Amino acid sequence: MTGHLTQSSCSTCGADVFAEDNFCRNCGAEIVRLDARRKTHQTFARADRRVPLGAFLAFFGGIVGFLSYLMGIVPMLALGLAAFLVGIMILYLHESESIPGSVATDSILSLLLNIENLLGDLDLDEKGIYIPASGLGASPKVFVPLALTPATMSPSLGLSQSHGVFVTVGKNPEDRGILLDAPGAGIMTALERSLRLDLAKARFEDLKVDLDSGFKALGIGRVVSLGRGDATVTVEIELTALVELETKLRNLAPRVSAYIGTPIASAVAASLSKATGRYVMMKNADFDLPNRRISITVQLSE
Amino acid sequence: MKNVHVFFIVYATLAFSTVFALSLLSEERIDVYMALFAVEFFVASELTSPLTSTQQRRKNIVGVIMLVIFVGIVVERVLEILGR
Repeated sequence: MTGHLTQSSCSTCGADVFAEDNFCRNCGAEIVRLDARRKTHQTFARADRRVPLGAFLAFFGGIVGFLSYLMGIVPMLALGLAAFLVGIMILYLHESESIPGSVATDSILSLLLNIENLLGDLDLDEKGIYIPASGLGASPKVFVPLALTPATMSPSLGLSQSHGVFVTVGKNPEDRGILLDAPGAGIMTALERSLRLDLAKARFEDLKVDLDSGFKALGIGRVVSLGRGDATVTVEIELTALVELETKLRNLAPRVSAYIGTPIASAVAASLSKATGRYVMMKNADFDLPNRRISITVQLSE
Repeated sequence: MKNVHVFFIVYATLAFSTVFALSLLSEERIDVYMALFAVEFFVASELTSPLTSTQQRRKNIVGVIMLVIFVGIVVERVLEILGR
């Protein structure tokens, strides 16, 4: 097996780097590979072509339409008008990114690394429990217990309104943990806003369609499948964005990724908690990088 | 593919197909083309919603303009019929 892996070394710290890694597991430095750089240029070129395309269509349509109007050729006038309309829509409806994706990723990463350090210092080894919330824009909080006890497995729903970090949910010393805003809270809120739907009022049967529409509208990806088992739900998402963040977090913040979830996985868990009105615990969130697919399995409990 | 890109492709396909079809039928009234462009805009919008909030807002503005044009064409036709 080791014959398939080619090793190189990180130029920053000199640690070994495997062929499939995009980041040094020792110091976190990004490893830029030639094919990734080419892909970045291609993406940039593709984004750049929208404005010239829209401008060309609008200009072409305007010229053809004007000349056709002067010559009295109605079909050509209509062609010019159609091209002009399409060009104007490409220019007007296209929404440029307000902040480069890599800057947004790095900003989110540093915040989640703080949580990773917090979990490490407190030596918390239990999976986070999403507490259901209701109301448009309200996002479930995630409770990471010190230990799994009857009290910590079903923390009070009132914790959703709590602003504290270190909380006690029972009489015993083990009935404690930390209460965090879900990493995917912002994504979940954006989903609700784009769908104009309070997920607490959504039917579970429509959830796949709702989440699929929402993720597509946000430009994050699409929901491939959503299946329900006895007490588990599995959601598979094909990502069109945030792939870099997913990869980085799995390398640099394994506890956050496994116990609470990356922003995408957390958004899905929060959405499921809100839609079902039940506690949701992350079971696993496997990321298939070559296919850009993330498979999230959560456990539901009353 | 993002919804907005699908919208551009769907609307461009519908609009250029309309021009091709109506020119084969030798249609000489420009308001027929315009009315169909307006209808196709709403069809493409419904097929490719939802968009992001900014795009939705801008699309609504374009939709209002299209609606005004369409209503204007309809009113002109109605007045023409009533005038006879």
